Amino acid sequence: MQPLSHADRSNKQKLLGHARGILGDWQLYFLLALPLSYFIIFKYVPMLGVAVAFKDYNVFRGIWESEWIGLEAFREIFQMDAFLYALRNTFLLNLLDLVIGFPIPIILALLLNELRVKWFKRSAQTLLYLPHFISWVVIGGMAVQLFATNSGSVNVFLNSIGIESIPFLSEKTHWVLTYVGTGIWRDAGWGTILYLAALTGINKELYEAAEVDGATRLRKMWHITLPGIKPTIVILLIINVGHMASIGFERPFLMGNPGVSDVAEVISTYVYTVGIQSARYTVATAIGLFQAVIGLIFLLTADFISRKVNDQGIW
Amino acid sequence: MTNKPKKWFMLTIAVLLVASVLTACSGNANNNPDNASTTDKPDNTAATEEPKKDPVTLKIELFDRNNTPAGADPITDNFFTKYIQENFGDPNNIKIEWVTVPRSEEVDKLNVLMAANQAPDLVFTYDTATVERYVKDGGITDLGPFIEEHGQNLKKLLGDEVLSYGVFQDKQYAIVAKRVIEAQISTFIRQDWLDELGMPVPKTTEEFYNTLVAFKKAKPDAFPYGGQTDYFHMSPLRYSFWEWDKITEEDLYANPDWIMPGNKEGFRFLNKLYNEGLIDKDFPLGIGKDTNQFQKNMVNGLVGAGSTNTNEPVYMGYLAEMTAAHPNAKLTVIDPFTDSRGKTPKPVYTPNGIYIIVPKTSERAAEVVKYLDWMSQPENIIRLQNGTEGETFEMVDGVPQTLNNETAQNLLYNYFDYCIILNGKYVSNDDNMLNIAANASDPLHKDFTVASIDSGTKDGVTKARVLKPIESEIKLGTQLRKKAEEDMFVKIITASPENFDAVYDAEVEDYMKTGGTEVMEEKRAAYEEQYK
Repeated sequence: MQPLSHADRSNKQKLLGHARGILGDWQLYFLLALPLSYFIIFKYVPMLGVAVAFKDYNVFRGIWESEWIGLEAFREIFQMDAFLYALRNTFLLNLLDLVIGFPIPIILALLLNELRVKWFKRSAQTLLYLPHFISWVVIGGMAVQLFATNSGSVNVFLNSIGIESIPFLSEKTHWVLTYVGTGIWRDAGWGTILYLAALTGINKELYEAAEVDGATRLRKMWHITLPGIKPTIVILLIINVGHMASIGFERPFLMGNPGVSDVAEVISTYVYTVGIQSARYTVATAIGLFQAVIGLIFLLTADFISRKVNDQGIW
Repeated sequence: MTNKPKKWFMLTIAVLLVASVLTACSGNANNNPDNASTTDKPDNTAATEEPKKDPVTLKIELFDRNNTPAGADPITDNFFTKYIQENFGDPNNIKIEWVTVPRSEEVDKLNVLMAANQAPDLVFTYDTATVERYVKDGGITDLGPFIEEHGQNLKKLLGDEVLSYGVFQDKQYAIVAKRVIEAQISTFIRQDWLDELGMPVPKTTEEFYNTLVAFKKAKPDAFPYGGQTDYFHMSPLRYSFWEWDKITEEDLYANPDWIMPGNKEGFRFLNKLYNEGLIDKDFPLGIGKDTNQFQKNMVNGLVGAGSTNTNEPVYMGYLAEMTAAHPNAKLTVIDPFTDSRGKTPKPVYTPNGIYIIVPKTSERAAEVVKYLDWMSQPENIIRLQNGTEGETFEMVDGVPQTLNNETAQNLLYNYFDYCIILNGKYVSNDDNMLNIAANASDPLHKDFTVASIDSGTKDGVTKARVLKPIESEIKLGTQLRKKAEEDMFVKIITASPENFDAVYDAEVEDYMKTGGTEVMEEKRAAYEEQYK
């Protein structure tokens, strides 16, 4: 063994220092180990399964025994019209969700913030985010009960006052609106929580100063409240844009029906048809992987733009 | 000193957190594969390695049709499961475990269970392409040797012809249930509504249409043609529009229905019914999801006429429910969908029913065959299809007749899911009239059953049987079927009359392009190889 050089020694001491730090705060690191292992076990290890996209996957032989087929699956999915439609619909529905659904929690939060009566504010808030805890399965069932063309309560009511049924669920445009609307109903209240938290961080003195200067409520909202929660808005916007390419399965699947599949078939439901129903796991995995890549591109782009424009990003 | 309690406090919290997360995880892992079912026992392999006196576990798939009446025992713990456990399980040192699968997600669920290596020992499917795929991928057990050793009763019951449907690549990979009744679909009409309007029983498609229009006029809230509005149950109507003199055996086997001469006119007729409000405007909402809506409409007395599985109103019990709620209601079986030759063509079943298979991962193939063999004994067939004599049925001239009581209604609503080697009630190998009589199990509606089976069999059409597996169909079959039976069926019927031709042509072209042509050509080649 060669004697340790000075640099080595100081490095070693540094390491020892780190080690001592870890040992000293071991409870904290122990707590951190849990979420970390969650991510490794449930997020990183399953990523190895991506190999399926490049193999002629035979479920009975297992992933590693199946043969490699290179990019064959990707070649196939780009030739499928149905996949391109699903991709288009995913973007369409997500974009509408974003454009219509994103500002609503902000407005709600601003309104809630202006409420002075405590108990009313509290109960309004609770009522607003309660729907978030209703599963899509239930909402899908409720939508049929309420909006079905013949037997839905809403249409029964409309008929009784002499208005013709509105095909909420069976006509494409109406369906898209119903889809976006139920999404807002379910999640807008929940979305206010983060903004309300950010609102509490705004310095009260700013409001007092504005009041002294004779600013109206709207002025205060515009010049103090909104700039105060701007970083939160930007971060949430970036995260939402990052999710543009991915879409949950339950909502489009349960709200959709064969009559509107032209707009309701999205990537997740298409993966279900191809992967689970037809058992073509290779193709389904390839679609999933492609979707993840697009999502990453969107996220990075949004972050890049936000840095340029706002000087704020997620990193 | 002050530091110590704090440290212990932190440690306790940390340990508690770890413990709670771990238990939550393991709980999840157990629940994931199949929630709300009995698969949660991860230790069936452990059981096999233990000394012989411990029973082995045999896991059996069971359809959950979500139709258990209020007050009835759950389908995994009722008379049938107890009878099977006591009379087959206990003597053979086997513990039976039921794994429920939703009926409407039959293939999806099976694919997931097979892929996850968690399939029960006995699984089944109606889908030929799925079985062929499992055979091709090497995922299921050759049952031939087991049948030779343990399956003499089974062989006797099914016979060589039925068994031959389970042979793939020269091996008996599947055991196929025997179909007692070939009839597939029958149509009924409310006789009391006809009487009320002074109309005759419709005998042609045109008369049928006029009747529906009259129903709509007299009862605006009703669904004049409100049976199961889906691709399958509309087959008699569709077939009646086909130009049969232009269709060869090969066409019938290989062509998709969409390009059959006359098929477009059949859909034009359905499109007309839809646009005039003669079929349920909400029918698309139920396709592939809720197949029970029409039963509810029916029990509520809102359905004027409908096409259903033959005899289903009797064996699923909703005819009895309807007559209980509407004592005047009376159904007449009709067969109005006539073609240009004056015949009423409709699909009928070949003698094979569901495919019963054993995954390769299962070590219980012998027990599965023993179980099916036990089930094939006449005494057990009677018990598994009818319950207990004196409680749920009585023997009349050698034919079990269901008793009209609550015990019977609360038990027999899914009897067909236990005696899986038979599709339909069965009493005799030799006399099919006795079997028909047995299927008229509800004495109040005996005439309805007999007439349904008659009409569902009349001018029946079966497609040629080609032994070679069709590769492109294994690959694309499910997607094409979903496209045809869900998307196209709905889009074409709900199109506006002006757009009908454009929608139909565009959809069919797309269907042929996305695989329809590929499958058709491969089928033609296979047909010609076998028959020419």
